[in-house]
Amino acid sequence: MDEQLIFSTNTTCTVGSLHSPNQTNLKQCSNEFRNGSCLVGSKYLLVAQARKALINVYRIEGSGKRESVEQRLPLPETVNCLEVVENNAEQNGNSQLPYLLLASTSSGKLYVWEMASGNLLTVKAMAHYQAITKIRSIIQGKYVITSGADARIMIWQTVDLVSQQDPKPLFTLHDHTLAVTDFEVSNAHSSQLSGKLFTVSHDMTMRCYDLNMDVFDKPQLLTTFTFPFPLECITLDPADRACYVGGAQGVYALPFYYPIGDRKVANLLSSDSSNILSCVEQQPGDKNADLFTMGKVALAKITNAQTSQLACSLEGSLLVVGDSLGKCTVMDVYSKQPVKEIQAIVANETAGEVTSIILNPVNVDNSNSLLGDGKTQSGFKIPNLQKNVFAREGLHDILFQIEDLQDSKVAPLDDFEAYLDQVAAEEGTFAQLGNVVSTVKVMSESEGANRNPENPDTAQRPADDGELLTMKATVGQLTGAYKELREMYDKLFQEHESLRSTLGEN
Amino acid sequence: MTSEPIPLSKLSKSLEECSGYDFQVLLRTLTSSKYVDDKLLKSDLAVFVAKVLKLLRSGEDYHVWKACHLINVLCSYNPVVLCSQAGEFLTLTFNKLEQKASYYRTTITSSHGRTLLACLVRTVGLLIDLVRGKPALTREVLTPRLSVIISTLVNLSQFEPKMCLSILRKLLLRNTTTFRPHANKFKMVLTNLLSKDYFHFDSATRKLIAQNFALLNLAKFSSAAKDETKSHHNTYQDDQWRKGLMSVLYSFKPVISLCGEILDFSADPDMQKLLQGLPAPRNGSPEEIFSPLEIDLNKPITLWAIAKRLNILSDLTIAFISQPTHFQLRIPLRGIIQISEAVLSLTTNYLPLQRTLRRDTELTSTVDALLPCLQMCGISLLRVTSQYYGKCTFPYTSNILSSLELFVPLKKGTTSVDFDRVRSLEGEMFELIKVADYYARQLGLSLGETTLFAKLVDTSMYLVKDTVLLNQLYGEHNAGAQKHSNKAKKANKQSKGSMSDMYSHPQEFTSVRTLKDFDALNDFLVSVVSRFKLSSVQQIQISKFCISNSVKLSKERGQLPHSFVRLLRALVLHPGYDRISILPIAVTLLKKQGDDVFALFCNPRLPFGAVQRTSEALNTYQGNLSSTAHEEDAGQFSGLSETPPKEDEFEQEAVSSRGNQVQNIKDHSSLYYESTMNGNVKRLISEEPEKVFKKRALATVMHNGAQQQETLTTVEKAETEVASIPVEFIQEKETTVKVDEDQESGGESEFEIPEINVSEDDED
Repeated sequence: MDEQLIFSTNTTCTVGSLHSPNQTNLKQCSNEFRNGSCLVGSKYLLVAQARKALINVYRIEGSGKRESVEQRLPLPETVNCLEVVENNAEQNGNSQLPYLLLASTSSGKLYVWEMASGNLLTVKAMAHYQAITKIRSIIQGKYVITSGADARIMIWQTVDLVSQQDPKPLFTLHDHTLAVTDFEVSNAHSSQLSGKLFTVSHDMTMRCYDLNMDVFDKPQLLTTFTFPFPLECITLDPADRACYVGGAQGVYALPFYYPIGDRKVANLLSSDSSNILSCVEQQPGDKNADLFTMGKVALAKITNAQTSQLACSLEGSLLVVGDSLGKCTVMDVYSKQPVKEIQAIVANETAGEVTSIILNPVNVDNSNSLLGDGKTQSGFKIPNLQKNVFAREGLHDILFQIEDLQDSKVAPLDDFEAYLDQVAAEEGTFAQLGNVVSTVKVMSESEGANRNPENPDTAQRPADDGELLTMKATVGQLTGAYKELREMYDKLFQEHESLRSTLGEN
Repeated sequence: MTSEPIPLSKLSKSLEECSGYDFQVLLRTLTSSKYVDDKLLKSDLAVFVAKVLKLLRSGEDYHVWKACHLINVLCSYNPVVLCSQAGEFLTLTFNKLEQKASYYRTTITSSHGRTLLACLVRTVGLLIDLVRGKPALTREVLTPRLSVIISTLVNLSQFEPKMCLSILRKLLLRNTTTFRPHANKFKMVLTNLLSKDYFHFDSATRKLIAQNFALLNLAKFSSAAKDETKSHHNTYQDDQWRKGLMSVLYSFKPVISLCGEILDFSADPDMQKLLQGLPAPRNGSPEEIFSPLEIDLNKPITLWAIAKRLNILSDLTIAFISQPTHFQLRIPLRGIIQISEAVLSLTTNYLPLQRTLRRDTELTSTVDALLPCLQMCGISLLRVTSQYYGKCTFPYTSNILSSLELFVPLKKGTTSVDFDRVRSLEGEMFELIKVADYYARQLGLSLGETTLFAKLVDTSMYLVKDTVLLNQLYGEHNAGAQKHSNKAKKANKQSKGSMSDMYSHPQEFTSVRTLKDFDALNDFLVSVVSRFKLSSVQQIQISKFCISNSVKLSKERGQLPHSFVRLLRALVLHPGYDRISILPIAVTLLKKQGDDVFALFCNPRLPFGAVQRTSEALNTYQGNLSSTAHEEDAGQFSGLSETPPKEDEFEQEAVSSRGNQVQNIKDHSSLYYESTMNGNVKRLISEEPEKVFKKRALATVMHNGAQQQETLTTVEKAETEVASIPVEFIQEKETTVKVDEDQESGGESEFEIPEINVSEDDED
């Protein structure tokens, strides 16, 4: 068990690890815009290439992983952000291809491809009025959220995106006044739109919305936090206990359950406090309670680095800070000490800022490494992405493969008790024959006719013997009679033959 | 007690004689891992195996049968035996099998012969399974014998598809190349089974037949000479598969068009368009799998041939699109969905019968019974498509939902559901509900204009009632009571048997809803309630159904079935437009057995260590340690994260970090309140329960006098519960009321709660 740390900078893309020193550099990769890479089924990495209308596909896990490009997907134009919508089918949930690939352009256009066929299902021109800064699919892919430099956040329903000619967003949030740079949604949610949405913007605010549709008709702004500098990125504690907000002046930790002295804790996200809280850096000697009454929250600073991307580890204790120099620092959230630094191997000063960070829990399994897993994975290829919008005609072929699930266990092994039960049931058919073994032959001799109730009792047998003798006698008589008849027939036949031959000669 | 196992030599002595329980004990002993020892191989194990082989060679069926089971157990639990003896075992069992199979007629005349045959087939299958994947064993044991095994199994599968097909399926999938020479023969066998005897088998066997038919396409048939002129075209790995699948899909169109003889398609231009668009061969006629149908409108019974054919075709399609393969398949998704749409459109809801047929009652009633059977094929196609292809069906969602809606029978000329026919299509309705549920799970909350789910909720609310089998009879009697009473009496006298029971004990003739039905319906209701915003009428109907049945069932069984608990949770969590909360009722109902969700809901708390502190006090070394511990705890409980903190925990934290301080209960509880009072809980408290219950009580009066008493008692119980709602909340009542009046324009707050006094008491 380890956590893969995948991060890209303007000119590099690195696959490292949080807890071990492994590190590989993916080749020929450059990524200019933030959030321009995404994982496909934890095995493949898609990276939108800078200044090229191209997506590079890398294989980063499993037996066939390598540093070079696995596949290149040409596009109609250069794209910024990428995201996939997983399929989550009931059966075959582990199908190799996700359902949709979403990509955005600097002009705010949203492309929607169906990955199983490469069909371009929708192009939503002017989805945002300026560049889209991040795309995420949430709640098992039922919804898609986009944020834009036009200060807006849109929540789309995935069905609408693919089935309507000109899809409309379900909700548009326009509380921010400058570009929305990043957002996060609660990891814990129900099967419908729920949880919380946190957005950060260049307008120096972070806003928290409640997405629970049972309570509100539309996403409800719960709290606004103001900061003293423009915000670039945000990440959430996996259990929504805190969030980490980063910008040019460093990273702050914002606990949502905020201690205000003497056993008191304030829930900063409660709806009826619907207010604006201004965040200030924690100074020694500050009294939280006093500050809180003035609408101020004192926050701990985690690092001073000029931050462009953030990510929080699986257990919520490590924070990965991607800075503007192309370096990732793993910070301990609690002690605020750096644990390790990861830099692209080909480090140079021109690496540029970190554009995306992905943390991916992986299973480290070395048990069988020498022999490999034997089963060679069949080549998996993403079909070419089409440049024309799909007309919804014809058969609409999609590529699909159902994995051959090897039956892990066979009959007696999986459930021995059931197997024994079957043995008992089967034995019943043999036991019907009374004294099992000795009578089998009798049965097969007098086959068929004897099958019905006639169940020879051993006690009756001697009595039957007399009958048997008489029957034998009858058989003897009959055979005798038959022999006589046969002889007569033969004689007559010979006579007949001789007559015919004589007639023939004549 | 020694750790030594019973020596095998002792066991082998009793091999021949033992039977019944002794034999089972013997088998159980053999599973011991103590026998996995290559030291035994030369001595005891060899003797034992020799004995087993002797049994296997014997001419007596019973001995052979015993040997088979011994081999099964020995080989699956003992790798040493498997590796050393699998070859011999396989050869001998297979020889026996071949012998039995070639004298098939003789073998099956006795029941034990058939058992033995099945057992031999299974043992051969098991040995193949066990050997597969082990390279050396496969090379030396399996490969030389496989071809003969396949040919025997293929032969036998004509007579015993149930026994052989599951093994053949695996062989097709894993040993495709070896199978190739036998593919043509097997295809003949399968085609024969499909066209002649298909409906003589149980559904599992039918499924196997269809699956084998599909998987057969993995083994390429001797392909015709390659066309050089087309060699520049892309070649796909799934060409053969595709050909098979398309020939099945092409067969749909003629069958559906044939229904045009019954239903007047010309009345509906959409239907004609749909029919036009069905997959059809572009040029030439592809290979036909089946002979043409013979249908005579003068003999309505022959119409069922259509249902048979459609069933086979849809089973085949399902097999083709749901089988694992080694390569990617091209699945014509739109074609499949169109076919199911067309099949589902075969209903008299919107299409009239052909003019010439309307007089013939025998024919029309046959058609009435036939059409739902046809539609079911479409439903099962859609079910499988949704199960395997999930979101890929998204572009067609509205089409799919509206064609599913076509299955709900309507009263002639109206849009209201015909409940009498719903009753006669019960099983099918359950299936429909399940399929609709699959699709609902994938969708988001806004649904456009589909009315399917509203109709299905109505239907399911109807289905939950018990059926009175005599309804029909009563209806007739009451209607014609005055007129024909004498005649009826006479008729009754003439009829034999005792008819009196029907009148004296009509309740014995009801078909009662079983728990299984309720479970199926509840699953659907849970997903509907939690996914869509229902109209308040339906929401109330569902709540009423849930509550009254919960009361009844928990009385009967002592505890509430799990599906009802889930429905209660869903209803509490998703109260619908009216925001009527049944939390108090739900809690009362579950008081006996307790429920984690409601416990958490009424007494919100955070997991330990969920609150992250960054204050200086904790920056010390000690604090460092404790916090990591907390952190770990929190990781485990992260699922519960959204609930606000719990008292104990605060206390604990406070103690650990700052030592004992004076407690300030008032502040604490206000904070507590602050943190709990978001979302539902707040609303629950603010909403006056009385009104809610009044509403329900009214509804009850209107609907059903009999149930009134029951429901009202529940209500009273619940009210008492409300009065004692956790005391911690009460203090903040004032603030809540204010907020509510501000935010929700005070529409529903005729707030007359005495509890405020209680809270003041508390403050001292």
